[in-house]
Amino acid sequence: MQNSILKNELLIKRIKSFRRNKIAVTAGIILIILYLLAIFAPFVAPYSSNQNFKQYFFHPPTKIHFSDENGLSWPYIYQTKSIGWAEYKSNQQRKQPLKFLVTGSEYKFLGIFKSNLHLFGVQGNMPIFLLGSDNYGRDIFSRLLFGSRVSLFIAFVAILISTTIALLMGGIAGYYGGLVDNIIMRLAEIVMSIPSFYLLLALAAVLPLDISSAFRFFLIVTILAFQGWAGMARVIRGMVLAVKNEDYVLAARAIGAADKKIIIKHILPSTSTFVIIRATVAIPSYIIMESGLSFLGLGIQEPAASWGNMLSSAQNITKITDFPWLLIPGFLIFITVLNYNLLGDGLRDALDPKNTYSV
Amino acid sequence: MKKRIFIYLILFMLIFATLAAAQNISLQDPWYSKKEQGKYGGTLISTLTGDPKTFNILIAKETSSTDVLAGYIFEGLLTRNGVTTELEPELAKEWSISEDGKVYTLKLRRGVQWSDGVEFTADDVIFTFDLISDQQIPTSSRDVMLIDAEFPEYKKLDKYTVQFKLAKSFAPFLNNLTAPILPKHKLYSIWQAGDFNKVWGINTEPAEIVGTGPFKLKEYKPGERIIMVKNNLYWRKDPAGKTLPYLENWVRIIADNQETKSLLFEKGQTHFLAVRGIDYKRFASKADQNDFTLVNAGPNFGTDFLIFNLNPRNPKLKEQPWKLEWFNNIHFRKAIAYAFDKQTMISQAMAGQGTPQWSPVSSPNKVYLNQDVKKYPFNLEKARQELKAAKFYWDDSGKLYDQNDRRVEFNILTYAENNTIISLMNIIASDLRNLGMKINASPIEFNKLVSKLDNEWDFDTIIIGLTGGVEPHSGSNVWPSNGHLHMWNPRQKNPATEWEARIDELFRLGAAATSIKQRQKYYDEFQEIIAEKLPVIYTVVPNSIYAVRNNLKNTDITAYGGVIWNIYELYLED
Amino acid sequence: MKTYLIRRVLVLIPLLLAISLLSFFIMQLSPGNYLDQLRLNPDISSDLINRLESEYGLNQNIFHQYLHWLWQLLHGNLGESFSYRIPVTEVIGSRIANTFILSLAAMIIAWGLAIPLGIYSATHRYSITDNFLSSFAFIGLSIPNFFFALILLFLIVKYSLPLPVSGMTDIMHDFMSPTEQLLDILRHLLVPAVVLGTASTASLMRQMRGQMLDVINSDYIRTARAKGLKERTIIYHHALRNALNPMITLFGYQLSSLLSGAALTETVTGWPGLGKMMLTAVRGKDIYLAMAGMMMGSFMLVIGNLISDLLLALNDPRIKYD
Repeated sequence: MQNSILKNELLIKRIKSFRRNKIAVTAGIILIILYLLAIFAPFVAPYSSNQNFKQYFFHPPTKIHFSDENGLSWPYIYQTKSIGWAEYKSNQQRKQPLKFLVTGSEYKFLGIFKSNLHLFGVQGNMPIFLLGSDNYGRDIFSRLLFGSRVSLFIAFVAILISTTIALLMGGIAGYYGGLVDNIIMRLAEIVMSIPSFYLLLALAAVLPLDISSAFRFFLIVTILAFQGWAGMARVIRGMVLAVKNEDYVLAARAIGAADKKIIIKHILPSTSTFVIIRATVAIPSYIIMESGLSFLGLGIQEPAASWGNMLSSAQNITKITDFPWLLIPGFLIFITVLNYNLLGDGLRDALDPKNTYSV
Repeated sequence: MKKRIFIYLILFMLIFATLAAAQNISLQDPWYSKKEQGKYGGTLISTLTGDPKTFNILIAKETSSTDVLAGYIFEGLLTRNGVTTELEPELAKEWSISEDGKVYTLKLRRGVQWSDGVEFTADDVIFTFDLISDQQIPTSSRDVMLIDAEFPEYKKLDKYTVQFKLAKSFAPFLNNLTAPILPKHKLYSIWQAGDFNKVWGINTEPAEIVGTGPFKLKEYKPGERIIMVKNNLYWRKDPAGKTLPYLENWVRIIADNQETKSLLFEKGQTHFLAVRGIDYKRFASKADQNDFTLVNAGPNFGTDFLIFNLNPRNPKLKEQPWKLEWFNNIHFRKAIAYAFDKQTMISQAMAGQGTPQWSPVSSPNKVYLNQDVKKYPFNLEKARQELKAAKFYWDDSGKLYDQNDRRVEFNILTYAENNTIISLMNIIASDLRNLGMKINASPIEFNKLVSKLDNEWDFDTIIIGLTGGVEPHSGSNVWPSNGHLHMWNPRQKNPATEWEARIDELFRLGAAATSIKQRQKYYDEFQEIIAEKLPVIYTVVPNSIYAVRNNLKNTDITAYGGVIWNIYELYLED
Repeated sequence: MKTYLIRRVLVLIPLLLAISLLSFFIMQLSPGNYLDQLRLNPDISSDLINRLESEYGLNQNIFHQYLHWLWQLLHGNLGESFSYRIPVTEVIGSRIANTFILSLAAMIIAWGLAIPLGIYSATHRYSITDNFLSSFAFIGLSIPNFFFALILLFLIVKYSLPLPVSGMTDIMHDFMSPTEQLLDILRHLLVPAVVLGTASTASLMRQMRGQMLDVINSDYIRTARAKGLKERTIIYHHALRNALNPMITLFGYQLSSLLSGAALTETVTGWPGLGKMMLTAVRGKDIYLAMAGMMMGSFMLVIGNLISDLLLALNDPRIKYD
C-alpha cells in the first residue's frame, strides 16, 4: 500500500517534470496530431490516395484566394488549363468556391463505418491540389495523409518487436553470463553479420505477390526487426554487464531477490535511456529504409502511398528543380524525426530515476 | 538507369531489297570517308551504363560487355549502316549470293591489319567460325546460324575469299555475317588447349586484346572507366587518304545512374548524353547557353507490351479456370486494348516524348512496319461494349462480373528495375479499374518475372519489353508457336489456334523468300494477325533524344545507331 | 585476457560457418538462378542453357552446392564468378580496397563529428547551439542517402564547384605525382564520405549526448563536483570514459552497416566499390561472387565486434573476463 502510493507520487512527479519541458510537450502534441491525421486520413483528404486527374499531372499547389475585386470573400480557387507539357495557366474567369464537409469518394472509416464525407473540397470540375499533384495527377496532400498511415505505424510496430526481443536477450545474456551469454551473443552475431541490405533483396523476392503492399512491407519490416534486435541486444548486454556488479545489484542479490525481479527492477531500468533514444532514432530509420527499398522498386508499391516511395519517386534533378513540391514528403519525414527525438529527450529526462537536475 | 531488358533481339535489316536473285554487292575498297575532312587528335568522353563482364566478345552475353567491344575493337565481315540500317561490307569488301540462295561467297578486304600488325586473312574468318560452331563454347552466335538445326558449311577458297553453303535458301543468314571476327594468331593455341572460355576476361592485360576496330583497349579501371586509344593501323581512311579515326583517345566513364550521367554532361565532362523525356525541357532550355544541341531521333526500337497468359498449362488454372476463359475471349482482350490510354502514357511516363505502337514490328522499322494494322484508340465506351458483347455485366457500384457472377480480378506484373514500365503499368491498371475490374498491379524482381514467363507460367498478365530490330525473323523465338519466348503460351507442340498456325507458316515463308516484296507481304499479314487477335497489346515507345556538344562534328545521329556508330569519322573541334 | 582472446578467436570459426550457411540459403530462397537472364534472350537456345546449368552445377540441390562451395573455400578457392568467368577474388580484389577507403573516411567523419558534438550538446543542454546541432543532425537522418548524394552533386554542378561528380580518380590520375594523386582521391572521396558519414552522425551524436548526460548526472560525478574538481577535468577525465563505453559496442556494428549501406551511395556517386558490384551480383544471382562479398562483410563485422569487445575490456575495468 505504502509502496504504491510512493510509486504514484513518483509517477506524478515524472509527469510534472515532463510537462515542464515545453519543447518535448510540443513535440508530443505534434506527433499526436500527425497520428490523428493518419487515422482520419480518408476524412481529411479531399480525394482517395490513387484518384488520378489525368489532365493535371505535375500541377503546382493550387492557390487559394481570400479576396476578389469586391474585397474580402469566401475562399475560392481559379480553374487552370494546360498550356504545354506540365504547364498550367489559371483562368481568372472561372472561380470555384472552397467547401467544407463535402461528399466525395466513399471510404470505410477505421474499416467499419462507411462514409463519403470529406473535410473540405471545391465546387466545380477543377480539383484542389493543396500541395500540388504528382506525375499521375494525384493529389499530393491526400497521398501524404494516406502515406503517413504506412510510414508512422509500421515503424512503430517494428520498434516494438525489436526492442522487446533485444531487452530480453541482452538482459539475460548480460546477467547470467557464461554459456548462456555465449550462445545468445553468438546468435546475435550471426544475425547481425548478414548484411541487412542483401538480406532484404533476397527476401523481397520471396514474398508472395497477391498480398497488399502494406502487408508486404509489414512483413519486410518484421523481418528487419528480427534482425534489428541483435545490435541493440549487444549494447544492452554490455550495460547489464557493467551494472550487475554495482553495489545495489549485489546487495539485492545478497538478500536473495529472484533473478527475474533483479533483472526487471534493477538492471533493465538503467538501460532505459539507451532504449528510448535508440527507439526514437530507429523509428525514422525505418521510414528512410523504406524509401531506399522504393529506390530499388521493392518498398511500398504504387499505387499505395508512403512517404518513402513518394520521396524516392522525386529523385530526379528535373523534378527537384521544376516541381519542388514533390519534396514535401521529405519535409514530413524530417518533422517526424525531429519530433520523435525531441520527445525522446523529454521522456528520457522525465523517466530517468537518477535525474534530479531538471526537477 | 534506363535498363531495357537484357534481351537483345539482334538488330537486323532491309538489305533484302537488293537481294533478289544472284547479285554482287561491293563497296569502295579502300574505304574513304565521305564526311568533311576532320581534325586529328582530342579525347572523346562518354558514359557507359555498367561494367563490362568480359572482353571475350564471343561469349559476352550482356550489352554492358558488347557495348565496349562491338564495332569499336572488333568488327564483322558485314555491318549495318547506322543511318540506312542496311547491311554493308566491313572486313569483307564484297559478297555474292548464288541463284538458289544457298551459296554465299565473300571477298575480304586486302591489307587489313590486326592492331598488333599481323595481317587479317581468311584464316581468321575460318577460325572464328570454328569457334562459333564449337559446342564447348557458350556463345549466342551459334544458334542463330543454325538452319534446320544444321550449321552452314564454310570454307576458305583462297587467302582473301571465304564461302558459306546453306542447306536451303535462308534470307536472314546474311545478318549473321555481322558476327565479330577474332584473331587466330592470338587465340588458336588457347582454343586448342580448351581454355577459350576463360581467355580475355576483364583481368586481361589490355595490350593482349587485339582487334581490327578503330580503337584499342588501353586501360580498364573496374567501376570507373575504360580508356581506349586510336588504332593506328585502322583500315578506313579520311577523304585525304590518311588513317582514321580522327580521335586520339576515347574515355568511357562507367556511371550506373542516369542522374549521374546527366550531371556529368551538364558539368561539361562528357560530349554527349542520351536524354530521358522527363529531362527534355530542362535540357532544351539550356542548350544554347551551354553550347550543345538536342537531337530528337524519333522512336527507338524498344517495344513494351502486355501479355495475356493463354497457356492451358498454367498451374493456377486449377483454382481459377475462368481466368483462361476470360483471356481467351477476344472481346475481353479487345476491351483491354481499348482501355490503353496511350496519350496519357506518353505524357506521364515519357514526359511527352513518345510514340504509340500498334504492331509487333518496331516503330522506326520503315521496311517491315505495317502502318495499317487494326488500332484501338483509347475509348472506355467501346471497351464496355466489348465487355457486354462477351456477356460481362456491372453491379450497382460499378464492379465488373462475368456471366457466371465472378468478379473480374487479375494481376498485372512487371519488373521493378524500370520506372517507365512501372508507370505504364499504373496507368493501365488505373483505367482497367475504371472499367470495374479489380487489378493487383505489382512490380517484381526481373529474375522472378523471367521464371514466371519461362517455366512457371502462373501469371495472369505481364508487362515486359523487348528490344526489337529490323529483321522480323529475329523474332522467330517469339512469334512461332514452338518458340521458347512465345510468351503467352510457349513451346507448343502443335499450334493451339488457327491464327497461331498461320503465323508459324508466315515465318517459314518469310525466311525462305528472297524478294523483299514477298517478305513484306508475309510479315504484313503476321502483324495484322497479332493486332487483330491481341495475344499481346502494345503500349508506347519513347523517343531517342541525344544532347550533343557542338564541338563534336561529323555526327549522323539516329535512333538505330545513336551518336557513335560512325565513331571512326567523328572529330572534335577546338 | 590472453585465454579470452584465444577462445574468442576460436569461436569465430563455427560462427563464420553458420553465417555462410545462412547466407547461402537466403541467397537461394528466391526462385531462379543466374541463367534466368539468358533464358529471355531469343538467341540462346535451351540446350546452351542446360549445358551452362550443369557446368555451373546449378542443377544440383542447394545443399550439395553449398558443400561444394565450402569444400572449395577450405582449399582457398572462392570460386569463379558466373558473369565474369574469372576467379571471384580477382573481381573483388580492386574493389574491396576502394570500399574500405570509403568506409574508413565515412567512419572518421561520423565519429569525428558525433563524439565532440555529442559532448558539447550534453554539456550545453537546451542551449541554442544544442538545439541547432540536433536539428541539423536530424536533417541528415531524414534524407535517404542516395537522395542526399544526388542533391550534393546537383549543387556542385549548379554552382560550378571544382569538385568531381563521379568516380574515384580523375582521367589524368595516372599522370599525377603521388601527392596530387592522393589529393585527387580525397577530392573524389568528399561527397560519398560526407553522405555516408553524416547518415550515422545523427544517431551516434544523439547516443553520445544521452550517455554523457547519464554519466554527468551520476553520483560519482556529483561527488567529484562537490569536491571542487575542475569542470574540464570532470568531463574529460571521469565522465567521458564511462560515457564512451556503450559507444564502443556500437563500433563493431557500424563497420558492417557501412559496408552494406554503401551500395546505393556508391551507385549515385560512381564510387567503384564493393557495394555496387554486390548489388548486381545478388540481384543477378551470381552466387559465388555474392557469397564472397557477404562473407567479406561478415568477416569485417566479426572482427569489428572482437575489437570492440577488447576495447570495452580495456576501457571499463569493471568488466571481468574469465
